[in-house]
Amino acid sequence: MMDTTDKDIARLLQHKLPEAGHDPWFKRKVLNRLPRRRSQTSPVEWVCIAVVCVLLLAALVIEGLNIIGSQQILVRDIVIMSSLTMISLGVGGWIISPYIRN
Amino acid sequence: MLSTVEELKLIARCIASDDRDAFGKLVDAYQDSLRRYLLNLTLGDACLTDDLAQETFIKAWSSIRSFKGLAKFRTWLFRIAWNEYVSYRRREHPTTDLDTPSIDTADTSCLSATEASMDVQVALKVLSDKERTVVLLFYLEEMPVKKVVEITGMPEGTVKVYLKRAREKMAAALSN
Repeated sequence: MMDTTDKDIARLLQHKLPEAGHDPWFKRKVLNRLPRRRSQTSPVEWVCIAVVCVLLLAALVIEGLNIIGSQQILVRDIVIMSSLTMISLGVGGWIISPYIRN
Repeated sequence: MLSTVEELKLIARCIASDDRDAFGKLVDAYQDSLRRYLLNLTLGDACLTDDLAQETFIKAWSSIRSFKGLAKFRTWLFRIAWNEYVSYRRREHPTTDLDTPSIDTADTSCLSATEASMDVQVALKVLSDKERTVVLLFYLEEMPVKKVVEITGMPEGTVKVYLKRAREKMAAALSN
């Protein structure tokens, strides 16, 4: 808590001490020197992503081989392949989106 | 001046998505007062002020995830600035401690009348680094003693002693 003397000293310093002066380039200088964006994905997350990708790929291959083996395409096969494809695209988009944003 | 809510939103954006625009707004909000503090702490060294100020913001960006929001961002930023200054002093002048005045009180008599009449800047020179930072934070930045304690890491009693000592030294320098 400031008393009267302290307020006088504060007023004196605020009026007499030099200001640094607004530097319009300062922000740009700081932003240019900021370190690169860090990868926000930890090693554990990368392992989980790899496992999911492998499972999706395996499911696509197995379903593809089933369709080729049965020599006929059923509605069920179309639904399964579409779903797997859309999930794969979604996962792929989620993985690469941070890099696109960068 | 940013409100607490605006500040926390910007910080959250920095943490969540490395949003440099948000950090730029924080730089805009605090650069003037931070640079003024550092300019007077370094006794008018504009180049050093610019370097230290940039380093402060860069360190703040790098460690923004560690900002818990318990103290205000301004307090946290000024703490980084003080630590940067201390590191600089230890690097450049390893044998000088922060309790040594920049000039001897007795030497003010050798200053010309014109310089002495410029008074306040001269008065700051007779203070040690620790006394000067306490004076600048308390009087210039109008921070309460508790915030000065948070920024400098000194005990409250020590801060008050430095303030008292600084007032006496400045009064003596100003009256010479």
